[in-house]
Amino acid sequence: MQPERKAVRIGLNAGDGPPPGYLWHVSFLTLAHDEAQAILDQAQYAHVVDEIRALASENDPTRAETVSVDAIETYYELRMKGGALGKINLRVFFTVLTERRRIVILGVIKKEAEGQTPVWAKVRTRVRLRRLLAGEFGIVA
Amino acid sequence: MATSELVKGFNGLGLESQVIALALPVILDRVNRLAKEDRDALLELVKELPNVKSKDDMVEMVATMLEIIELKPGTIIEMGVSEGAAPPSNLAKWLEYVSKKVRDARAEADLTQEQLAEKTGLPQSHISRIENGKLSPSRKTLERLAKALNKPVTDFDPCV
Repeated sequence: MQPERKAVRIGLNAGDGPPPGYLWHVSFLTLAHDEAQAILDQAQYAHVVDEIRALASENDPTRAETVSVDAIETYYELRMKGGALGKINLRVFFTVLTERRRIVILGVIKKEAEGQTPVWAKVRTRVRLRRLLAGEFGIVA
Repeated sequence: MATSELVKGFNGLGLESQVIALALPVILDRVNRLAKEDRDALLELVKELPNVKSKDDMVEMVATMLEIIELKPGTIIEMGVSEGAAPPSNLAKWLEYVSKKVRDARAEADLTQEQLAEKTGLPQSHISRIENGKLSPSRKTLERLAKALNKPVTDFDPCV
């Protein structure tokens, strides 16, 4: 009988992870986490985590090879659909703090259809980015 | 205008209007104390209001306005991932399905993982993790695999 596998919770940090390994640390705003929890079920959330792991393994997350990334204003959008997400069109907004080798997830939204990012989502993310850089959410490691 | 006249006028308003009249100065005070960038952001949302078409968008628009006005609190935290945990059952089914599809299509094309990695521009380790059901691939990855293996992407992902 094989011993039961135990899950270990670890940080998503540069230098860790399966080959080729993460090249970036990842943090998120609790506001973004709350949004993801409200939109996604467990399986969908696990898929999103996989895409973020892939993003963290990229040399340049702003020009990712394995996931779909677009630039919006002064931040980025990770676009997801299909697979474990089913019919959900998901957008994960993030910024890249290059000197700290850190990706920060700023927000998560669900879209009913393809097309432009809604104005409210752009404005919301822009304000969160400003507050992040101003230290209003705490100090970024 | 004398205070008594103001009070008289106030009392003449309906209850809803009284609430608005009371709330307005508080809101204006908060808006005035916002950073200029945030006031501009709020103004951009107000200008966009007439273009909002769906109820869901209106709800999100109002939520965004409140987030800005209230400076909704939040913190930044490190992201954690579970290593070694079994995936949720729905995801496990999807991983089993897509891993088999990719493995079979690669075998049919008579390619090694290394050759497929070269054709797709994806890391070999990425393909290995997909084929072993350890990674839920993105749409972009599936499109690259489908193109390299001469298959429609719907072969790998019937959801889209």
